Amino acid sequence: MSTANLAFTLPAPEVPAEEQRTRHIEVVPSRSQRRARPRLVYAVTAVVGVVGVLFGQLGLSILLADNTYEISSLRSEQQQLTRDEAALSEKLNVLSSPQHLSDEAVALGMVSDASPVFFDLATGAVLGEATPAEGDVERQFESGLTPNEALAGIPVGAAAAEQQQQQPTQPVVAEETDAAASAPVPAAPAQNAEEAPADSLPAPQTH
Amino acid sequence: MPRAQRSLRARLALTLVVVLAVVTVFVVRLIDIQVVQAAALNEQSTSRRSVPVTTYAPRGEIIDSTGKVLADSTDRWDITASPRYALASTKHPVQESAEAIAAITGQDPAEIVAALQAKPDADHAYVSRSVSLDQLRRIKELDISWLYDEYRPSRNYPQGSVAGNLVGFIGTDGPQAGLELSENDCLASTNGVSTYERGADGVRLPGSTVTETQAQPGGTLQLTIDSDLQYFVQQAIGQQANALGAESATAVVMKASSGELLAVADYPSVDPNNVDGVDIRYLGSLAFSTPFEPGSTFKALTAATLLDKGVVSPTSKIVAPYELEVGDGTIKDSFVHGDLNLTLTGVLQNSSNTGIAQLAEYMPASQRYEYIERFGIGTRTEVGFNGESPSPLRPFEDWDSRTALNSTFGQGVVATSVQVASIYQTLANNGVRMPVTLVKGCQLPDGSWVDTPTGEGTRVVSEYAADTTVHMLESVVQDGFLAKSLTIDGYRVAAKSGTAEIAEGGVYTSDRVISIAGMAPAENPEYVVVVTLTKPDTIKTSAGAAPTFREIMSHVLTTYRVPPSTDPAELYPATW
Repeated sequence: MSTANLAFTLPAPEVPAEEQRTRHIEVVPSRSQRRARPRLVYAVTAVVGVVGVLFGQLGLSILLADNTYEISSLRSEQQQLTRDEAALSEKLNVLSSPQHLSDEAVALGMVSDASPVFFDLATGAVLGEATPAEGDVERQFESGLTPNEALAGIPVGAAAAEQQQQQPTQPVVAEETDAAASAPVPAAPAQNAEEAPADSLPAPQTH
Repeated sequence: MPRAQRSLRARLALTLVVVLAVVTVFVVRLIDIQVVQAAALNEQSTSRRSVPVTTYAPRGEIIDSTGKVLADSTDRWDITASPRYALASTKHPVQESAEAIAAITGQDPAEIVAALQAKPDADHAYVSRSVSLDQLRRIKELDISWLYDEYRPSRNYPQGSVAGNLVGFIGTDGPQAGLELSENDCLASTNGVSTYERGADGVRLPGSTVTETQAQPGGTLQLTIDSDLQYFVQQAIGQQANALGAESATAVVMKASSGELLAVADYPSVDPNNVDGVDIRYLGSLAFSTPFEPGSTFKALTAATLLDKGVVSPTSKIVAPYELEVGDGTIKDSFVHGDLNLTLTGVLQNSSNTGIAQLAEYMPASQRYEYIERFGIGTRTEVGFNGESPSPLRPFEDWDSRTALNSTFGQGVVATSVQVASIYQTLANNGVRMPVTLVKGCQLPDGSWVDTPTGEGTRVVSEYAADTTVHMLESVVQDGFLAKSLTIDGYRVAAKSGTAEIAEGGVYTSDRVISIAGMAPAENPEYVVVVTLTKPDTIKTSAGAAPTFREIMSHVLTTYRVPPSTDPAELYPATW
């Protein structure tokens, strides 16, 4: 064909005469070997590189996706905790309201002293007449004058103490009865166990 | 051959044309999608994957001077349901579920059933409003498929009616009263919107978060109010109001040196957690909003004015009759007596109307009018409380001779409790009136303070006039007819009583506003207390307010650790 001819004839004049001559002399395989060897290394490197990059990318993307789920779950945990914190501080604020504190104080039998007495540290003088505080508690902390709907359902005094004690002591009481059933302990003081649960802070009993 | 060649060329040409045509169609479509419709399609695609989420920032807290919380933001949820699914559900029948929900929320199960049956075909109905986190979690544990929840940022007032009159409250349409309304610019938060793309399982696609607007929390509003004192004062006036059968009562505690309000109590007072608990009249603060004719407590102002102009001295002599004929009427004292030889001090001690009216004639009424204005009557205080009254002062041109005389003992002029406190603060602070302050400032989320008061006072009367008036008022406490119920062991107290008639339809009635205004310790006043009781039933004189004044003042002095007075008072002579 005419095109084949063209291809064949064109390079011929471009090849220098010198080279044409050396081709006949030089060892062909050694040269092709020299050329081929580095080519293979490059090819392998490139392929390994590409595969490496691909695997790396895959790994990264797996990691990223995994972290996304972790972030997502941590975010929702954070939100839960923030809400818990808000709910607890709301409760704390309500419990520290003056209405609740005075109700608790009255429940503990505390009274407010209407005629205070001063002790002057510089002179040692007592100003005013020291008399025991009179317990006109009913009048002092008359409830209903400063209503607070936020306190609805919050127990006061003995009721609150009872409710608080119930929760931590329940398992202790259960253990006690179990122990009593399996090996009868002589007069196991259930009351003592109630007074000092194993994990509680040491504190005096106040009533 | 040429024939076959021609046919080949024709076929090639045809193929080429077809291929070109197809390519053209594709190119046109490509340009259409990639360029012409690109924006719209992109938007459509992101909106499928992305969801805009409202991010909430809390409304600012209102705290008292010690940092105790009076109002804070809290998380609440509305429980909603789809009646359509609920009524069809066999797994979670309505009646049974309603009972379970009601057990948690404390509602009536019938109420829930009724809410669901009201619109059986609807997809949205409120089952329970404003449930707490704890309740929400327990409701979610029920795992009822037709139940949903909507987040609703809400407001909580941990101290209830303590300072509820000042704090105000928030209704469904936003702030409704008090500081919640007037300081909304400080407290309000701005909700933000964040948009992110999500996968099929609803999890955020990595790196896709686009926050469009950041949520801005509100600032913290700090008041000058001490909530413990406020509680005590509210309790005290509440007890006395009930004991006397009074319609309402107010009390104000103010720091003499700064004009800061430590307590502004009203009885009845609204509990912002339960706004419907009181009559609509008591949703705000009477101490700011309701002017009354102050009566004799105003005599201290008249005395200070006369002393400032130098027209009288504490021992200026006057003969005070029971009745005094003036122009078109008569002025009477509150108790029947013969002619009394009183000094100015004695006039205050005996609260003689005829005495002060005669002494006031040493000075033109126009000048006294100016002093009344300078003491703050006729203008709103610097607080600018929501619904605050300026206590309108009739223009001087409209004053007749009767009003001019009546004003000397606090009739024919009006003042709010806070304004009366401000008058006594001026006297207590050596004649310098400090701006009345309720708000210490607004702390923005970045920590900076705004709206802090300027704290610059104005001189109303001379130091001599103010101090002498305070000294004269000590006579009221030590030797006056209320001495027994006003004196506090260990302290020198200066105070003035007031029993003012209430005018209705232009006629004075038998109803009274009884009040005591005073300060302690008198040698260097630190605190001002004003107590008023409106329309008492059993005791209609200031004797009804005196025990409460004493109770509050003793509490203030001990709470703020004011050292007892060391030197006894040397009083001016009251008679001659």
